[in-house]
Amino acid sequence: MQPQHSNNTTALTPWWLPITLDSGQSWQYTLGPLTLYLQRLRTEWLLGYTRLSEQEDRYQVLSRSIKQLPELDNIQRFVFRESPSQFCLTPKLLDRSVVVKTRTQLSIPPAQQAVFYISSPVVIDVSLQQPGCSLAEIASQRLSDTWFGPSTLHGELCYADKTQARHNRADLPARPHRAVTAITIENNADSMLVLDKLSIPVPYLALYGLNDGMLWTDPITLQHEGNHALTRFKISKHLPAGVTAAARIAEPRQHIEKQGLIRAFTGMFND
Amino acid sequence: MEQFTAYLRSEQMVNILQAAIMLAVGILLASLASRGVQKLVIRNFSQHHAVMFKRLVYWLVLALFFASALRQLGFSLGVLLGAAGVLSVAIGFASQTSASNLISGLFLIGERPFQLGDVIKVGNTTGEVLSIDLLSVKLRTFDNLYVRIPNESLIKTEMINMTRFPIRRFDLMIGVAYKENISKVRQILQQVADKNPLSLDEPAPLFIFNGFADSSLSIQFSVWTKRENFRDLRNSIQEEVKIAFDQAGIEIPFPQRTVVFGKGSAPVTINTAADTKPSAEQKD
Repeated sequence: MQPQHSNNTTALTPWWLPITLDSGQSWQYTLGPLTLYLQRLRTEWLLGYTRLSEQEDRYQVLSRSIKQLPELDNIQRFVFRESPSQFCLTPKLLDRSVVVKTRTQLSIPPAQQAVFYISSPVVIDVSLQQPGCSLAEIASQRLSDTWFGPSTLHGELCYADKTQARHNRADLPARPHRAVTAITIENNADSMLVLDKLSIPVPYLALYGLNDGMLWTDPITLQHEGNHALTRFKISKHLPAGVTAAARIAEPRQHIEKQGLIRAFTGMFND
Repeated sequence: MEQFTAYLRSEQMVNILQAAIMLAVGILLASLASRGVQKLVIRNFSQHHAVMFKRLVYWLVLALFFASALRQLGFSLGVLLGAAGVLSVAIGFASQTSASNLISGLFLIGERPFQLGDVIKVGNTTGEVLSIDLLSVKLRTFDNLYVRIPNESLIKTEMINMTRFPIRRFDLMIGVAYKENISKVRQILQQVADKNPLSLDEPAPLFIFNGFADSSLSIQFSVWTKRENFRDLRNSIQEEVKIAFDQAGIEIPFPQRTVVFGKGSAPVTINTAADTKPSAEQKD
């Protein structure tokens, strides 16, 4: 049985380890705003979920056996000759970039650099093991769509989120369903870099799960050169302290093209 | 009988056989080559171009083999082409519509205002483009009808491509009663758009106060969305706006008319049914 945590505790546990169920057993797994319900029968698995729509932050991880599945309208059935006994939840990063709005405007003077810790929600891949079989990908939080680009003709669809753009690692709240990206922004231009929005290219990043239950992505560096609309983007080789390559649990969804140039900031350029 | 076998052995029969084989091989080769070209082209070009190349290669290869088959049969191609030249003038006059469609089709293919799979609106017809041919464009409407639109009319009239750009805007036209506070209405609409996951955060929703209409303050609220989500957004946001207005007690008025009688006219008396005395005719 996995340990239980009540609301607002900062200690998390890794929730991406497999769990074995007996035939007829049901399980509830709550990760922040998302609650998954699974049931194993002799020849099938049932999967359903509920998601809180409120924007409030929930820090809860709850993993427990339940008597029966609640009444849900999104229950899916997966039928097997003989149902596998283990299920596993694996976090993955989102399939589109996440555009985060800073709650207050941020300015970085010329020739300065700063590190920010910005989190983005993960998608949960529900899979069975022996034989391995992925059942569904469920987003832990439904983010609004947004358009990121200089005009309605040019740009890309992204997800929209808000951030505190925390500067200090110790201030990070422990949230089970969000992965933290360490972003280094270098301002190599002659003028002040004013940010109210920032795009994190999460599809290019790998995901690391630590023993303390925190999720981290590859750290990135954004170099602002001043006169280009695109920003030089690098995935840093140095993982944040405490994160090791052994903790890598998900590979990037895409690989970088265009020599590492992405559109990371807007509002300043019009091309 | 002998005559027949002699005929079979004659050079003419051999030629006919050779021509037939040539034509058969031509059809086979043309279809193989066109499929090969399509596979090759689709990697680097759009589906539209791939289909165009496929057809071009097919007809070109087939024409070559057809010409060789004709030569095998003893026709002189030069004479045939000359005759075709004279004939084409006559045919040109006779088939003016087809020719005009054909030329319009060439322009359409060159201009590429839409591609296969796009949703376009021509006149009152909206549908998905199934094929772009030399004479016409075929559409499948959303109620599953097959519509053929001649290229000529496509060139002449206005056509709307609904799926050219990845995002679209939905304009919600709404009126609120004169007593309402506009800034509160604006705030509520903004909140509704923020909560709807289909509405894009950026470009931000647009609020326009259109003016003082007959019986309401007329407002335009424009929300952007991914083009695939357009219909869902249109449904969900109108429903949510209505619910939010009802909760906040904001009135969406009906057209109203205030009737004022002039000062000089006598006040209107209203009689209830009980007061009215039946007239003499009704008594009988």
